[in-house]
Amino acid sequence: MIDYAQINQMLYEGNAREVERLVREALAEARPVSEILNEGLIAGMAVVGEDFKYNILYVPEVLVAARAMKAGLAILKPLLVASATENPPRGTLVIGTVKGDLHDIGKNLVCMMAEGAGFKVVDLGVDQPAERFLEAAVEHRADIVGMSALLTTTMPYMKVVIDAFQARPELAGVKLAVGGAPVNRMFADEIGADGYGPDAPSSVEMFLKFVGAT
Amino acid sequence: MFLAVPPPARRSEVESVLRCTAARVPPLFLPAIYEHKASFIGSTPSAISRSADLLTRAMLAEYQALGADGLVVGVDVYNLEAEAAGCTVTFYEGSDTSIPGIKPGNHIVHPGDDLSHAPVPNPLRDGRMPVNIEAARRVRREVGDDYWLRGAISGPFSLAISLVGAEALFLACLDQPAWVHQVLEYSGRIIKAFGRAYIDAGAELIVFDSQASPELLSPPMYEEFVLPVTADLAQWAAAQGIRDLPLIIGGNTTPIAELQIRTGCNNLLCDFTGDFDEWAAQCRAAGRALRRNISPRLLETSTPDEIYTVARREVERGRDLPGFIMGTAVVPFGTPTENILAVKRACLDAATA
Repeated sequence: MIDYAQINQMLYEGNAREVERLVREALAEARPVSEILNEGLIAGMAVVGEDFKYNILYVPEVLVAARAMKAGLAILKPLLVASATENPPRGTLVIGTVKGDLHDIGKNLVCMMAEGAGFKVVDLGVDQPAERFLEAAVEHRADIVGMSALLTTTMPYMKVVIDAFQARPELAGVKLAVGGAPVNRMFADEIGADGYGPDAPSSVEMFLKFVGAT
Repeated sequence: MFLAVPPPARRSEVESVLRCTAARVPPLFLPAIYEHKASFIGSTPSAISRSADLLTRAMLAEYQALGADGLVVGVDVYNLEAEAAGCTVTFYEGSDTSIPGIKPGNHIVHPGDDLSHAPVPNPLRDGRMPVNIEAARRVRREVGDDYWLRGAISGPFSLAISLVGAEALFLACLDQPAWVHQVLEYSGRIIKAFGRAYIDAGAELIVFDSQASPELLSPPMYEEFVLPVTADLAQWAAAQGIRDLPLIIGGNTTPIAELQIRTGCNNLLCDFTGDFDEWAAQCRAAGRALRRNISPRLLETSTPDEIYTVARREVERGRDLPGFIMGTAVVPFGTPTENILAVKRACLDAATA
């Protein structure tokens, strides 16, 4: 009988092959897809996030864990799509690095952890103008729009994006979140962001609060 | 050359600080100015980073406006070696002041590639290396020999990230550690070639390796991968006659302070988020010079008086530390000159306090 703690552990160790095997085993035991997703993959990734936050794990370890999670998720995805109404994502996150900024390490970590927490993630990539955030938010019916910047010179562009959203009343329900090395809470408040994530795990905790999942 | 501000320290004074012979009051003033150089001549980072004429003019304007105790040749300091090796850099045209960079995906080395015979760029021919080398030569001619002029080189880990891509390299650190050592060795060869050309042009060196920050890479991984190749670089530099080699890693690097000391680089950085007391204790014990930065956001958005207050506090903290240097984090493009000079004023006033 499958032990989800084992999936959690294999995911933590970045052992993609074992995660795949155990996910298949759980399916063979006719465990519900949502149970495997939540108790096997999402719970495992939550531990990774927590340990990353407290410098027990670093970026390379998080990346291999995320790779293992994706391997398990790839098996579940067709089943999740088939039962989308029973297993909806926790929310939709549209995220990108703002215009003029080509850095993506932090953003990618947030993407991986948000996906690991059950969100549908739409990654716009780097160097993204405000219009692109708006288009994607409409197209994908985003619950949350995340903006990342590594440079002090590109941080102010986050306000341009926020102003563009505020000029569109029909998007008033979209939560606007910011993060990146030079960003802090004071800046986030100044530019009217709904939230600020000091690191990837904290960002995902904030997203979960935004969608009422905690 | 005419200076609008008090003159910089002489080379012998700089050496005395870097070698920690005594605490210097006022401390050396070394602001971190790269893309902001362009604003001294009303240009853009993309423009000055592609023209030896503009880069020279911008650096001389920076020298005249600030009178800092050292200058760095370099704008987008993490791109030059990777670009010369074949990576594509994105530039911004017209009045766009964005900083040139390598877009994710534009990397030329793939995990597992055999790099044992990979070509090393020629600094006098490839990419924009010749721009920096020529600017170094011209600026040296203008400011004279009695001044600390440094050519920016990438640290090996940061160059490896530019060549391979961040995620691929981080994953390889766990999946293919022997190959990561090979990439770092290749990076080291490229950096040394670039460094040698700077030295021939009359500049010294400064190493930037912020991608090796403990905010990304664990201290044990720094020790395994980055320390050996950085120590090798420092030894190589010493053999070329470069006795004073700064190593710049931004972010809170306190967890790898001791490892950075072991690289042999003699001028280290405690960024504004780092633990100054811990850093100072380690540098005092090891005889390393220590630069303290203040926040770039403070520098960009606060008044000169507010900046002066913070800078004075930091200067006082380092007052008795041999090798203490007052710096700034990377100055954002367009920061008012009076804001940067507030830091210099804080340094100079320490001498009369």
